[in-house]
Amino acid sequence: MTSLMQRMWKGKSGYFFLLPHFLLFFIFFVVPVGWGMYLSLFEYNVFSQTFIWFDNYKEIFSDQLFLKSLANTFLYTFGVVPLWLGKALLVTVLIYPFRKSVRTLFKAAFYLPHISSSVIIAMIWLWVFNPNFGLLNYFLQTIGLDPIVWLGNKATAMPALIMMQVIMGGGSTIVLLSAAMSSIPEYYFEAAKLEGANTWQVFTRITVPLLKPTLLYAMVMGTIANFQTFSNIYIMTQGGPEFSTSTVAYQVYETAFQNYNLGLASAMSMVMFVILVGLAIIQFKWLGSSVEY
Amino acid sequence: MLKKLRIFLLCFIIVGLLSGAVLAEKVTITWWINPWRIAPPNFPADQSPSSEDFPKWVSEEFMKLHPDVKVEYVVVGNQEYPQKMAAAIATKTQPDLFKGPIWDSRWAKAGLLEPVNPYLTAEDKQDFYPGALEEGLVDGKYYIWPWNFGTNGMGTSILLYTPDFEKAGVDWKKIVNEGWTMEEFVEIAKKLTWDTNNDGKIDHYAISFGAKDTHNLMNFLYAFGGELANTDESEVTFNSPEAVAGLQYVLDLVNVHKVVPKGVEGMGVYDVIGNFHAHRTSMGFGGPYEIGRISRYLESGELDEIFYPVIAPFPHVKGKDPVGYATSGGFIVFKQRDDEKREMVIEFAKFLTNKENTALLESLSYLTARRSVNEGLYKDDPYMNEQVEVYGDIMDKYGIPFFGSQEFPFSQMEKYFTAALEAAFAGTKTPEKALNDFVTEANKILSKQK
Repeated sequence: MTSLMQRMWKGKSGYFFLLPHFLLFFIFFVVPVGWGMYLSLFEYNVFSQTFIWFDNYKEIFSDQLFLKSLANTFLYTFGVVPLWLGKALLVTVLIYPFRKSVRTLFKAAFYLPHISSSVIIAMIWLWVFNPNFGLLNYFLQTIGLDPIVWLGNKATAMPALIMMQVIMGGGSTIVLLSAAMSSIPEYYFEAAKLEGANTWQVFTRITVPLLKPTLLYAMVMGTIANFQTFSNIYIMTQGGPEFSTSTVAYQVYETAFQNYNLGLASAMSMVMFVILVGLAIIQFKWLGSSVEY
Repeated sequence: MLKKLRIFLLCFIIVGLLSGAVLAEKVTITWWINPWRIAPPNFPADQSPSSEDFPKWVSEEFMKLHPDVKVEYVVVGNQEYPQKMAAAIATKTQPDLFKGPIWDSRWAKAGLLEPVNPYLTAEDKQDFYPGALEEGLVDGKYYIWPWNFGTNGMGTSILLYTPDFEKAGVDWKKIVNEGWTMEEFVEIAKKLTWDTNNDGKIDHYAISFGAKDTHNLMNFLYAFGGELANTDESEVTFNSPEAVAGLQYVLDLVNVHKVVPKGVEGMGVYDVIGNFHAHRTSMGFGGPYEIGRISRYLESGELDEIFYPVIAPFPHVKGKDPVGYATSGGFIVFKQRDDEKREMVIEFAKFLTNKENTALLESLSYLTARRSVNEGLYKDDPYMNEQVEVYGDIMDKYGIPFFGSQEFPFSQMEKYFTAALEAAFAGTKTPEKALNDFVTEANKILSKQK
């Protein structure tokens, strides 16, 4: 204990510099999470506050709509993240051979959606998916196909949202992967080519393994972000049709701010929190081997 | 010694003055309003008012009348209003007074609101439409200071684009004056559906619907005799044969008569408005406010040219009256602990809803909650005057609340109703099955509330 204290005292300047960030993290993250856990044990509906132990958790796990929303959230996340990563990896590899200015141009172009308002993007995609005068149906009709009610059909609504997210997302991952790829020593690739490795072998045996730490980071962050998806759902489908695009985050919003049931909404948030922590642990365990070069 | 006494006296006077200044601190009234682009008096005619103009002007006017009061307004967007209000109530930082897109009768039941009854004059009671006062009725007390009567007219009336009616040889004046039956509506709708560019495909329809557009679709269910709930609101009954017939009628307009563009299951009210504005349909929905939207969209560049639709009632079942959604809105005062401040907040609520300030709703093409004010609206605009008269007549004669009393938890049920409509329009459920499923879920919510 004494040696721990001594070590902490020795590194006091480091801790001092960490303090502002830690304080903000504590106030704006740890306290709300703790408060959310506490609220989830209450029937807390703005007007009254009654301690009910785990009744909120019992209620949400017997609620078909919540379970459907949970399944939809997994479907959305596991639909988006692999495609998103695949797209980012493909783009990174394709633009890598170009000179720096061209690479920067592509990176900026793919990053652009990140600095645009998600609401505006969703509005534009609403027009793209519009059944009567949308861009997508216009193309379908020009090749003689019948128009599709993309966001009004249970079979197409979720794939449409996934497609939109895959097309619009991945910009930051491309930037990260490009940076990581630039740091791989060039002689690895040269040596592989001298040994007779083809492009596919270079990609699978050298590029991907050496990008693993960055890919893992992007996968964890992507999973967390997409598991909490809300604005696209809120603007484009409001969970419909027939709840086929309702997600946990959307249910939290509805429960808290339309039904004013903050206790139940907190319990839903806690379930989401636990699942995300679990997913992050699994991903680090499976893919977290260290890479040195 | 004398010097010390002087210093002591000086300090005493300074402390006294400071305390006096603190005691004389102004009463601060905080109020929230959602965006209402109302033009204050003498607002430049060539400019569009912003959502800040009215609250700023009215706050300043009140402060001029009451120099000892400081009025602070906050314009809260419609989307974020519910969460901001929920957070404010939970943290006890709610405004003193508000006008928003939402309010909840449970707030009144929990003792969070000030009832209006003790402050209403006999003249007010005569002047306000009974429906406008009853909108805020909870346990025998009124909680809303009525301001607007009706909202945008969704579910209340239909807008007719008269050039299309004339082109199709349909007498639109007869519809406005005498109404139309469901059968007549179908026949007229067929005449208003055509192929504009002669490529063999229908590209212009009579009307469009959106599954997420609850108000307008609900009108048809009510018109056929459906009722959301039984009289004492103990059971949801929107799966009655009458309600099913209403939904079947709307589905037939899409699938059998083909006078409505497909894709209803994926559309909302703004798609429907967009279709009407772009003349892809000859009929839209709404009242005077929606007519005002056309000129607002023109000013903001969202529309290229102005047009002047006329207001008509929804179609009715032969032998029955048409139906129109009637609602109203106003200002609500949160419970005040300080008597002096309460009087001031109530005074401000009265000021906001007095005849002069209520009349400012004219700039938004809204009908007001005061009969006396409505008589003087749009005197210089014969077209709008006529539309307001027709709209007021529909509200007055055929207006009914669609969503039950303030205690009825339709806001919690609405998602299941929308899901039922989506299923019916997508063809994944029959109208009967869709409404049965809605009623099952809605009754679960109702029993939980009990």
